[in-house]
Amino acid sequence: MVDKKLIEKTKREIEKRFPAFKAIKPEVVEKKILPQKAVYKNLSLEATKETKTLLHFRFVKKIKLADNIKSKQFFIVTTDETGQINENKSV
Amino acid sequence: MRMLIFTSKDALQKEIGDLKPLEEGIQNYKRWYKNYVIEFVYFDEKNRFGIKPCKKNPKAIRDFINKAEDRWGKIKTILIIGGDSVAPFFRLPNPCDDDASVLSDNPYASSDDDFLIPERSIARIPENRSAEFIIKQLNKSFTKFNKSFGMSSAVWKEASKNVYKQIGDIRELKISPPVVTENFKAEWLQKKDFLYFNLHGSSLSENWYGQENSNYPVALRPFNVISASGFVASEACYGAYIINKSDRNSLALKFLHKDGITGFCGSTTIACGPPIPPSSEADLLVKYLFEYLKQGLPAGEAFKNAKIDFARKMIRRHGFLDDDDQKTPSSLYYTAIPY
Repeated sequence: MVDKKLIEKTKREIEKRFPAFKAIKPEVVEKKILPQKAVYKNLSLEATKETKTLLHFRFVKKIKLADNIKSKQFFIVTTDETGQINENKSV
Repeated sequence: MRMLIFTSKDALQKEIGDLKPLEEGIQNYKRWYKNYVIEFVYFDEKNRFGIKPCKKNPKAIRDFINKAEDRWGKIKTILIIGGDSVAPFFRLPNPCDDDASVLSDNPYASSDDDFLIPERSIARIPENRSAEFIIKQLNKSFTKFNKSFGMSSAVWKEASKNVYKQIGDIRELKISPPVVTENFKAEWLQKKDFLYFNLHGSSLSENWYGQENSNYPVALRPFNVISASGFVASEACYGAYIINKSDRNSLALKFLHKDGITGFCGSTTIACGPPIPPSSEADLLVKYLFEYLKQGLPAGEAFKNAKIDFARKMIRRHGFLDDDDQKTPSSLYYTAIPY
């Protein structure tokens, strides 16, 4: 269960850093990243045994391209379980 | 070094008709390309490996490749002839919550069940409904001009500069807007080594788009590509989605139709990247791809290495590959010959 206070705090932080998405309510998903043994093995790296928890804040904006084609634009912010922003990406 | 070229006789014949000219084209390619021991097989008919012909099913074709490797020896490079209707892409489960599945060639390049880190380099030449199109790709050669072209959506300008600096002067990167299809100069695409695009794309449109605030102008249409040269890397969503498309309604196929274009790397699905540096997802993969190509590595090898470096970098950065990191190397693929 995701801590609601943490989500609110992170949302405020995101709004401050990325004001273009201020008016959009994000979909927040908690993701568990299991140890990725096969990937680590193929990269000749020693695998971590930890399961990591991430929070995905996904902002979706309906857009209209110049030739009237309807599309969606995504903006995704990933944080760790403490709300620390790891990275952000857009589509 | 062994290269396996494969296709479906039955399905390819339906798309392009007489296969004789193509078979001759492949024989010429084999004679000309001496770095590899090359075998060409139809997976759906009797073959030199004595492997039972298989159906046009990705899993069966992958088994066919692995059996060929068992009997022939380590395969370094795979070249698929034909698009999805001839040798289908794998439909991988999408780790992200956007498209239902990810169209990918990665499993063909992996002998184990971890498709993210392929051991073989892989390339695909779509048929674009003509044998001439395929033969043209096989006969292409690289001319060096020491110049590049890049174009970015205005909102991703800073992130794009971080990629483009591998291949060109960031002051020359075109930004959309103000650059749009109407003021796009055809000569920008000529006499270049690399062409880089970080623009929006849509599954419903053949065009790519710029962005500034809520304005999404058309940045590039197929008719803007009159003459072009170099290797193209596009981060546009669906930039390499070619199912039921031709060079008239796909920029990927339009580029490949040009004599000077030596390869095209793009996404079959939604591709993402950061709005600002540091590079991640598609930006990072393309950045590594350009680095290897600049070092003179064959394109197939460069793309394979870029995927490995991408995975290493993201693991070093976060300790794991998240959903988009897993999707990016699967959804981006490379078309043209893997020389």
